[in-house]
Amino acid sequence: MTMPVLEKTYQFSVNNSLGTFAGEQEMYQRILLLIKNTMKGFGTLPWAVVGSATTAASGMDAVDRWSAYTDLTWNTSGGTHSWIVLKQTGLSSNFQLLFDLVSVGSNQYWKMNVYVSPSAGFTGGTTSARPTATDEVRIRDGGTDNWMASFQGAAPVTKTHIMQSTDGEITRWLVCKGGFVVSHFSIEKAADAVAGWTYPIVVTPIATGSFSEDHTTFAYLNDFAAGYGFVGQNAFRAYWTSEFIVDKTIGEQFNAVANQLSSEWPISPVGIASMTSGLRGRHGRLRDIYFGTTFNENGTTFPAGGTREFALFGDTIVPWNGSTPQIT
Amino acid sequence: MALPALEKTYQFNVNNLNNAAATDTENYQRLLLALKNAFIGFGTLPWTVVGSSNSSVAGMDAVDRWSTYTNLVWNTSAAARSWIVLKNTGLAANFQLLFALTSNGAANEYGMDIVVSPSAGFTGSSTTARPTATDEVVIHNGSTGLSWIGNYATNGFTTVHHVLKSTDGQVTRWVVCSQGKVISFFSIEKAADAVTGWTVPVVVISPVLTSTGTDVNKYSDLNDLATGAASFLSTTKFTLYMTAEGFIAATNGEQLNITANQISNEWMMGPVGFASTDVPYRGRHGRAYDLWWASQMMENATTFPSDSTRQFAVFGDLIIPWDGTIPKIF
Repeated sequence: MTMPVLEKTYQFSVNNSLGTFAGEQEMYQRILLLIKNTMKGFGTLPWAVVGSATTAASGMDAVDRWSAYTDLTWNTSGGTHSWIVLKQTGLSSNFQLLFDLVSVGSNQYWKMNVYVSPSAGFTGGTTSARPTATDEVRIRDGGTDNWMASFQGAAPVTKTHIMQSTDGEITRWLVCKGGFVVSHFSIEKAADAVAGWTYPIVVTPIATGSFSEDHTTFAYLNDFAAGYGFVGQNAFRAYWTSEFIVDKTIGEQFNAVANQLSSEWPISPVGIASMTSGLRGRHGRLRDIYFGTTFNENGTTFPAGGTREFALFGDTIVPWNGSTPQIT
Repeated sequence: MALPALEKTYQFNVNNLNNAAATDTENYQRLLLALKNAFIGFGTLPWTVVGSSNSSVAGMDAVDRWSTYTNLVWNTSAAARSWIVLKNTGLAANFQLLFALTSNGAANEYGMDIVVSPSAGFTGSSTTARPTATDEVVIHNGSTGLSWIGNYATNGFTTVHHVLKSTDGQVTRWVVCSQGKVISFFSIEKAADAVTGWTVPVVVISPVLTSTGTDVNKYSDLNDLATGAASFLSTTKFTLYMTAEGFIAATNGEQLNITANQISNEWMMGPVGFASTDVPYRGRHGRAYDLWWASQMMENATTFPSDSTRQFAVFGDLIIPWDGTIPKIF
């Protein structure tokens, strides 16, 4: 289809290579440190640090204690571990996001707690206990949920891509390894939100256990409710909807050839719908992210010329900065 | 969802009751005559008659020979029968639409040829042969037994019909209801956001009724099957699915059909796209103006918003613009 017109302006930090890691622990530490540093480093309306912890010190004092990758320590709940609270006024005046490096063991670095506080803000916190908020909503449970694929062995080379809209309403990261998308996280304000969805914010963390499959696929986003929204403190799981015929999406149905009239590949909008009881419905749509086709390879860019305005990762298409996307 | 803003302005001719006639033949005759009269009767950019046949006299002379219901005569191909050619410049400068009352039997009035000519126009003809066009596309072949309406082979049946047309001529639709069900749905409309290469992006929606006890324009008729809608490239027809937003393995209107949105308390209205799997016309090619999918939960004649303005009405699984009256479905 015709190239969509972006609704936002983006800041990009893409194709970040961290070289070869000494081990898997260092890989997770350095990637998450890079992501945090990028989120707070964007030139316009970056995320701000509200508080942080290493295993040695903590405080909700606007100090970023994640300076070196060794400051990031995972542990079981109750053990000393690292956490950080970031704030983004583009989502709401006091919207806060907590990464809490809790896992089911001290060496399961691919897990962590993710919480949001849309208004009240996090308080408290020690080196062994994350801060809490009266309106907090849990998005990821480090006891069970991955934020990235679990790689148990020699640490691979990765490429990390991070982007944020200049109004702060959209932040996304993608981590690629070996040609696959092995981590996706997005936190964004939904467009055309239904009345009553007080904070129309969708958080979509996708990570399965596998390093050898894409995580941003129809299977994980459209067949499975990978996204989260919330009303009050009640979270709902959200499907990323797409245009259907028969029993499949356009991107799955038309995955053999480009449109035979226009020779263009599909770029389909993404909606948000939930089947969570009490919060059922189609609630809005996402801006500037699209479903592609299952046919195209990671790193494919659109349009076909060299401007590379959009790039495909998994089955999703995101705005791009014109560079050649690196996926290995 | 919030009510959509219409992209077109509409003229309405709705809630027309057709009482059961003495025979089912007369029912079909009166109904199709009324639909044709509605097409040519709109105040702004109506369809115009290019030619017609009443089975006794025929001519491509701009004369409308469908004056009374008895002028509509069905028969098999090559037998004397009625036809009419209508023109709508809103679709293309010389876009013509032919209804030929061809069926697979003399009394099978549910059959009809539906043929379009996007540019060249129909010529020739007689009372026994419909006119033809060098660029014609047969959308519906009546001689195969495909129905434009339910097969009511009984002694009369009551219907109510609704016709609407955009003032720019790009959208014309009819809905025929009987006993609370949509027994005929027809639409001829220009697609929005058509892909490059779709030279004349006109879609004809004419789902075939498979059972008289159900609506003709459901997800199962139009989203799961491509037999209910079609378009063309040059003189070749390709079939179309009417796309709908969905997840897992079904559309939103099928998945979220138990309750209204539990956050907003609103019922869904989902946009309609057009896609084909016919080779070599594969792809998602455009979308419909001012037509939406509803939840399967919605009953026929439900209107939106939930007040007396009644700006939209549900028929089958589709929602169309409405004129504020209470929709009758009889």
